[in-house]
Amino acid sequence: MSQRPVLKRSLLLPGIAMLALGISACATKKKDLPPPPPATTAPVAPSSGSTSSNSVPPPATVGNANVPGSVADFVAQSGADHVLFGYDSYELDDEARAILGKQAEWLARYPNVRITVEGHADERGTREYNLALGDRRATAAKNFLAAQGVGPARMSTISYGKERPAVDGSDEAAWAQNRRAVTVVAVAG
Amino acid sequence: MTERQALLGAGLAHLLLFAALSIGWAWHHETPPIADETTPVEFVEIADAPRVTEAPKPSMQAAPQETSAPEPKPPEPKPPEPKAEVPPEPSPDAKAEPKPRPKAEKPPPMATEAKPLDTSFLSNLIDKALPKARTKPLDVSKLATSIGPATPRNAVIDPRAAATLIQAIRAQVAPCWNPPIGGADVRKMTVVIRADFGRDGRVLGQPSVVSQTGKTAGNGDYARAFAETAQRALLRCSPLKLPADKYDLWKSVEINFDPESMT
Amino acid sequence: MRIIVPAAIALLAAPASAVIRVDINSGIAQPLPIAVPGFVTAAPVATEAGTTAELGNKVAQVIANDLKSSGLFRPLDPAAYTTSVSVADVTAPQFASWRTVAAQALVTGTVSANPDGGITVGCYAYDVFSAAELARQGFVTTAAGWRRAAHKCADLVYSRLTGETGYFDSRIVYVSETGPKTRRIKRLAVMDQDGAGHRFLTSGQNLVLTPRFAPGQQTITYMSFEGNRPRVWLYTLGSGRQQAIGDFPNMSFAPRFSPDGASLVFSMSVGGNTDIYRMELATRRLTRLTTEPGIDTAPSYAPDGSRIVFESDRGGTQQLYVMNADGGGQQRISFGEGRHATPVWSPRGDLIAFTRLGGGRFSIGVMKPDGSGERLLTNAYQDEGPTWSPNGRVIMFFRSARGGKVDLWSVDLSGQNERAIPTPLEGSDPAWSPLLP
Repeated sequence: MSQRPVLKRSLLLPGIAMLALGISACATKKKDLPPPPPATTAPVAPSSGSTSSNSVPPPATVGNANVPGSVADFVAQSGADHVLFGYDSYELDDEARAILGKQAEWLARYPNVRITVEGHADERGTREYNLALGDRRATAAKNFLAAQGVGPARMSTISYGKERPAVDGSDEAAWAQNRRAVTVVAVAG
Repeated sequence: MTERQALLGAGLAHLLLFAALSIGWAWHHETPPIADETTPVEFVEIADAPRVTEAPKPSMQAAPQETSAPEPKPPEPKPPEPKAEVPPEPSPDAKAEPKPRPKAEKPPPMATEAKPLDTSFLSNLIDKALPKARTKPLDVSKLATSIGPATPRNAVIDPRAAATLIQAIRAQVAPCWNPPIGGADVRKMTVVIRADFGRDGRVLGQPSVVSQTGKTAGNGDYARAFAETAQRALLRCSPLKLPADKYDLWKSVEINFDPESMT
Repeated sequence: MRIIVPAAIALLAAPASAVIRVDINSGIAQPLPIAVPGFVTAAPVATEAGTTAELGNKVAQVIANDLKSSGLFRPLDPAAYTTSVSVADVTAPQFASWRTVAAQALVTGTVSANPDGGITVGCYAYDVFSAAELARQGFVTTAAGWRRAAHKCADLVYSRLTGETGYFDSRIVYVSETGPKTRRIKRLAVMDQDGAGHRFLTSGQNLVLTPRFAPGQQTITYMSFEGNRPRVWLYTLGSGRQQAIGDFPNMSFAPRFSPDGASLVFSMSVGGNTDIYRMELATRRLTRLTTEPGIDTAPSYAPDGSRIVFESDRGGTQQLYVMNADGGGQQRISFGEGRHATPVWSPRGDLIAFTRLGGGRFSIGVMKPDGSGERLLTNAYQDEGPTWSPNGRVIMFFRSARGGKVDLWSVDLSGQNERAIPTPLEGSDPAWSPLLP
């Protein structure tokens, strides 16, 4: 996975998040060079890393007071930046719809914010099927947001299949966390 | 699957897709070309070792020219030569192979030092004996089957003695048979091998293929390998321990190898 | 073998008598004991890869290792040999001596230096008990290419003794993995079939998945998340050139070459619906092969190019389907228990390998192209992604331990000889090349 800050995960510093201007901006970047195994540096956690629940609050904010319009604010106002799915399912349950509804409200307040919806799967499917399943989940979330009035032009989707679990583990608890669609906001300048 | 209807709408998106495809592909020129890759391997026919091993000699001569360092004295590598003349008979295994060594028919290895450098010369030294050997099964099976039908009329076999004998042969040969496992056609293949025994229980000469089933146009190599496992089984088990007083019954035996029941 | 005819003639001459007939229905299937003494050289000559004498020993070791890895041969411990091999012995082996160590087959050979700096490896195979020569072949290569000559020799021995083509002179491309699961770093890597010559092709900067060799083996197709745009790419070995096959707005993945190398088939997801497409590489012309709603992916051509097997969940869960190369005649073939995924057509055309999901586990299995004869070859927490050896006799796959490591494994068609394939790091998504030319 790319370590460049294309799509910042929630709760990173808004300033850093602003570096990310969307997919196309980076499409022509330097690609793979054979030799050096990349040393992953802490701050550049991949876009699809852990969920907000176990992330560290950004130092820029104090207490629970998030900067309005920030990524942290988006998560706080929506209740979560992600929704969960059942095994091999891409149907949105009531809880997921509630979260996405709040996300849509927040997005309505900040019309300049673009989002990418990431679709993920747990490890209990084959690799390629899970890529397609992740695409279904991301699409389901995106379609719901669209129905709530979020302009399709502001949204894109990407599937990581089972390549980027939120939690490392082979049990029900881990699988449940990993079957998800994550709304990644890019707070544009 | 409630959202499938919505998915159908994706057809529209395909139109966009096709349009987008005309945008072409970006070639990304990658960094350090990686030292390639597959070194070529060329097949050549090879002759008997003495000939092959002449080749290095000139290389030895060539080497010193390039590297001034050591002088490995080209004339030295004579030792193999005397041996090369001996091989035809010295083998202690002669007793196990009563047949004449076919190699003796070949012209003695000619000295070819004139042009040993050229590897292509190797291809001119194809061992003619080899292809010859491959033609064997056809004639043999014809001969053998012509014998088969003739035998029953003699019906001199005492059934009880035969049953005991069959049991003894099976018990001794089966553990020596290493059928080819996992082969595509192994289940459908059987082979009947005829072997002649000396009074000491040793296999005389080579066990021959009487008949073979399951052979198709496409599996000739496999059929041959399969038959060879049966022939090998008999040679490995030789000598069999069988009652001397019944020698007439077992001096020639046909064995049907059938892996059908093997897992 | 050669003296069979005289023996038969002798029979004819003998007085007719009844012939006892014995049926043998069982044997002992075990690896064939084989001796592979070091290849000899008339006089050691220095090459860029060591002296010909050194190479002779290394060549024999590689051959023995190849044969052993097949599970069909048991190379004998050289320490047990009762004879050393002289140059003359290469073509006139001391069969009696090899019998005493219970070798049933023998491989001898020579390594000689060529004037151009290359080497010639002479390879001879014998049946020890019948004292017959089975095969011989010479291989001319560069000194550095000695391993390939050894693999070619091993392939010769394997094919002559088993009746099937060999597979040792081949390579594996796979995904090397390292790091925590949540931030996995994946790199394309290639290595010889026996693990030698391992090389990374990409840096790990981008997530890469599912590489496959082109038939010509100079190109690899794979999926990369480069630029956060998951797409199908081509990697040219040698130049290291990487190229996206198209500027698709949607995710494209699961690429495979057609048997003639002229086309790719792959999946593309559009609005949550995943279908299979074929792209003609020369013209970039794209043809959509499936249209059903659902996930159609993991396409794999029959070796003759006439049909494609793929997986689809159009019936509710992942199952295998076969269609004509033009997308017509789509027909479900898997009806066994559980789900069936990642089908791969055998290079022999007679079988399809797949991943079966059931009972919370993934297994590797095979079935005939009409769906009959399904059988499972492995059983572990997660065995996924089969790929065939060039001769269609061995299947490599990747095995994920529960909450643990991911590694490459192989198993033969009979379900025997399950072995771990060592890689420098963890490994997944293996793909076997065809036999090298």
